[in-house]
Parts: sequence; structure tokens; C-alpha cells
Amino acid sequence: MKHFSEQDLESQVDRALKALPEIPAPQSLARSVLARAKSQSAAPWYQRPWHSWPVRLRAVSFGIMLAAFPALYFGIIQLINHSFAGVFAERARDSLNAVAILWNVATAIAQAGFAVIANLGPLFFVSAFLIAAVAYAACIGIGTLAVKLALTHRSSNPFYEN
Amino acid sequence: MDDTQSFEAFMLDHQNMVFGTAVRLLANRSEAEDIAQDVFLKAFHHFENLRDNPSAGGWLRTVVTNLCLNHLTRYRSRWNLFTEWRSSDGEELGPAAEMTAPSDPLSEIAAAEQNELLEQALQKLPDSQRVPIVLFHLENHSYEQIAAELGISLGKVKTDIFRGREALRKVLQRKTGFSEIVRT
Repeated sequence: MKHFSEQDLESQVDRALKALPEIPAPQSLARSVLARAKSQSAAPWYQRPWHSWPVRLRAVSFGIMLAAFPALYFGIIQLINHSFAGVFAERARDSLNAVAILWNVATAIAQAGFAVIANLGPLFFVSAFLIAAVAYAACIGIGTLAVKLALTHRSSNPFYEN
Repeated sequence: MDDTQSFEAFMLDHQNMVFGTAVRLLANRSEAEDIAQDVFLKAFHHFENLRDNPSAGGWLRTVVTNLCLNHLTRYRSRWNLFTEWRSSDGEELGPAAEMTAPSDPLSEIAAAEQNELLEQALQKLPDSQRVPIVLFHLENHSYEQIAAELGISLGKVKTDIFRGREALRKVLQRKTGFSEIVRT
């Protein structure tokens, strides 16, 4: 059997693919599109995408949106200048009380922990350090293996390296 | 003729092109039908501008290509990792491509059947080869454009297209019989 050269193959593929007949669309395509288009048109304006709203509503909503930004800005400024400062100070005082309680509890736990550690021998610390080191090395090893396996098989982009 | 009727006529004019492009890019008829529906819904929303526009066909072609590429990169790659372990060089093309060439080169095979074999072989190519081949040969995109659209290097585009053509070689040889073309 004779074979195509690379350039000939390119032109053969090009000719053959361009000569392929059209693939007929299924009969249901037009019906489905028209049904979906009709249901979208029948939906009330607020359920449709903004660009398909009536022009007058689009203009009004755009105006409202434009006005909303300065209104929001000046509203926040007013709130901060008047009532917000007092409310904030009260909230801060309450929060500080809660922090003080937490600090007392944390101090008590830390003191108990120091007492326990003082009673343990050096063997305990050496063992704990070794266990932590082995666990850390195992995590790094497993992670590296997983990444290598994932990259070997396939990238998330189907057109990237196979 | 009211708007719906003109849109229906517009759709009938272009639906084979849109659906065919989607089928060849996705190699899946039901996904292609979903994409074609989305394309025509977009067209419906822009019908005022498309109605008498001579470049409406080009617009549809661009939209269907972009939607198919988005579909392939965003959705299909998620399950490909678990379900699809095809040969990367596209050697396994199935029965369509594996059929041996006829012993008698003059034997007549219906043109429709030959086209069907080529169509099947094209659709059996892996995404990474079929999509660049379709974009290059059927959509007339340049290598550079394809590289940019698919987010891959120019070299990879050329390699994938070369591999895809090689995989189609058997079918083409059968299609053209023992043609005058010889290895140089």
C-alpha cells in the first residue's frame, strides 16, 4: 500500500474534511429553541436578563443604580458622624469584657500545662519530637507522590499534555 | 412574516452548520444539540441585529466554536480524568479505521459510506487531536489562533494536528484507494 507524504496528507485531509456533507440537525432542535425562546419571552421582565428588559425599565434601573452609590456613600458618612460613634463605643466595651474573661481562662490553662510539662522527663520530649518529624516527612512524601501521579496522568486542560 | 416566523426561517437556514460544527468539535450529538440550542437562544436575543446581517453566519460560527471550547475545557475535563483513558497518539480508532483497504482499488464503495467512515474516524480521535484538526481544516483557524484558543503551545498544536492526520491516514487511503499520491 502506498502512503501519503506529510504535505500530501495535509492537503488530502483538508480536501476530504471540507468535502464532508453537512450533518443534519435533529428535527427537535428548532422546536426546542422556539419553545425555550417563547418561555423566556413570556417570563416577566424581572426574571429576564437585564439586557432584555424594556428600554424604559433599563433606563430607570440604570438611573437608580447611579443614584444608589452616592446615596450609600453619604448615608454611611452621616451614620458615622452621628449615632454610629456611640453605638460603636458601647460594642467595643462589651467586646473588651469578653476578651478579659477569655484571657483569664487561657492563663489558667497555660499554667496547668506548664506544671504538667515540668513533671515530664526529657525522654518524653525526645519521643514527641521524633514522632512529629516522622509524621511531617510522611506527609511531604505522600504529597509529592500524589502530585507526581496527578501530573503524570492528565492536566485539567484536556488540550494540554496528554 | 412575523418575528417568530422569520427567526424560524433564519434557524432553518443555519441549523445544520451550527449543529454540525458542534458535533465535530464535541463528538457527542446530545451535547452538540444542547450547545446548538444555546447558540440559537443567543441569536434570538440579538435577532434584531442579525436579521438582515450578511455576517450572521460568521457570528453563529464564532459563537458555536467558543461555546464548544468552553464546554470542553470547563465541564468535560472534570469527568475525563476518571472515565477516559484513551491512547494519546490516537492509534486506537476502532472498527471504522481498522477496516483494511479493499483488495480491488476500483471496487466501488458508496460515497456516503466513505464519508461516514471518515466522520466516525474523526469523532473517535481524542479531544486533543480532533479539536485542533476541526479548527484548522474546517474553521480555517491558523495554528497561532488555535494555540491561543486552547491555551497550549504552538508546537503542541502542530504535533496534535500531525498526529490526528496520521490517525486519519488509513481511512483516507481507503477513501481514495491507491491514489496517485506516493511517499516522497
